[in-house]
Amino acid sequence: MYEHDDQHLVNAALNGDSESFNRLVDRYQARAYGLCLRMLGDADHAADVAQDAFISAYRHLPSLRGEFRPWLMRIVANACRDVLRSQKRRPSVSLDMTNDDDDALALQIADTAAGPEEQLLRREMQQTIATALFTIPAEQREVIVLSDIEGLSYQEIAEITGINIGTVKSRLNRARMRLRELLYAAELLPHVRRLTSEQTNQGE
Amino acid sequence: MGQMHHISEEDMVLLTALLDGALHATAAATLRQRLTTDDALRDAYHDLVLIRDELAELPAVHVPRSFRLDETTLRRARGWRWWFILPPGGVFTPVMSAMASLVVAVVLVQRLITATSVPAADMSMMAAPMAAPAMEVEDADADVRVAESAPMSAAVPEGAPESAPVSNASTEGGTDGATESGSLAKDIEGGNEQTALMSEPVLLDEPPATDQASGDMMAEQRMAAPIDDSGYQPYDEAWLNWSVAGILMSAILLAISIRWIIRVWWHQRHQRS
Repeated sequence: MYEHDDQHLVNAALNGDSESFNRLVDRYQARAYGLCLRMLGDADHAADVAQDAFISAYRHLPSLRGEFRPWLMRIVANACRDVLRSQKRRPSVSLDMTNDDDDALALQIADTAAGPEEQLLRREMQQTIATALFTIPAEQREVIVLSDIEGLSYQEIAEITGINIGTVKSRLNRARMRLRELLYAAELLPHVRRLTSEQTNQGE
Repeated sequence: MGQMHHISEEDMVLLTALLDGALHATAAATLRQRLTTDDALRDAYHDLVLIRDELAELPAVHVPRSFRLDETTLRRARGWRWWFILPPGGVFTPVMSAMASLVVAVVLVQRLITATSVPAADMSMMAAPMAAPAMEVEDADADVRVAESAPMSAAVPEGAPESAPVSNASTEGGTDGATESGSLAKDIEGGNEQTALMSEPVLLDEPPATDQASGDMMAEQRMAAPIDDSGYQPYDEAWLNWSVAGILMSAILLAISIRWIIRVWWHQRHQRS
């Protein structure tokens, strides 16, 4: 339904209705900014890149063929990759994600019935995961963010990142392996697994 | 404290595929069977499930501000477009592009045909004076004989005085240019100038069908057109090359436009379906 509506808005924007394009911005800005933040780790930087990506999308709207969402996400991912590439040339350390963005990463534990120990543990685990994401290579991070956070399929990820599905699988596997190692190193995973299994046993 | 079981990368690939539902049914059944017996494999699978779930449950990021584009930004993003008078998108632009390239191609082809056909029509008039110098070099002796045997008064029509200067200019040896040009013109038309020159003196009983005006025009054309060893050059070679290049470019642009139209049409049809 969204896709059909997207196309309607795209057509209207192409015919000069800028409000239609801004409705698309409203619809996808959280996803776009989220991807930027997960990729770059710096809130201000991510906002700038997301804004530039929307401007670029508007400029290239006449060349859009197919669906808007994957096309937009490809533009956003490319913009992030460009920034990461330039950062690699001029390395700088951002501590935004680990220190300042507690609000951004404020956890909303879905399971309110969980005990305080589990809540604490899961909160710690999510913070560790969010931080650990930035220790894995950018190309692996991009794939795992698109797959496990954005919930995109292999095919969609391949289209967005411009790599084949085999490479998507391979990068995703390496990213998960790396996160697993990091969570073991933080001694979090065994605890969470133990709590989860205890809950399962109680439920049974 | 639990310890991480190291499993092979191959097994991790299988576990990841199983987790994402991307494993073939047979392979998935085999792996599930292994999971019931292999503790290390089972722990690894549970770890992957946990990581995936935790990632999926990461809180949605708080968007710090709206990314809506204001009118100034939109105008700047739009920039200057050559089709500013045309509606962007749709089939209108490629159709206009195709029509423009078609018109350019037709005009260039038409001009090229005209340019190459006009000199051919005038070749009977033009060839003789232009071809004469080259032939004179080869058949100098024959020319002398012709000139001697043909009285000037009989060979030179009064209506063609302009032939003489050209022929004289090209035959500075002193032979009679008027006689040469007249006879050669006639013989070249027949395609056997050698035989004609050698067999009999040429006497033009009737004056050529050229008047003063056409003679002047021919003289002007001779002055303008380049003459080389191969004979008369009826049109500018550079212009010809540019025309051919223009036609090729128009054809390419036309092909691109048609492909564009087909894509837009296919895309619109796909959307409707």
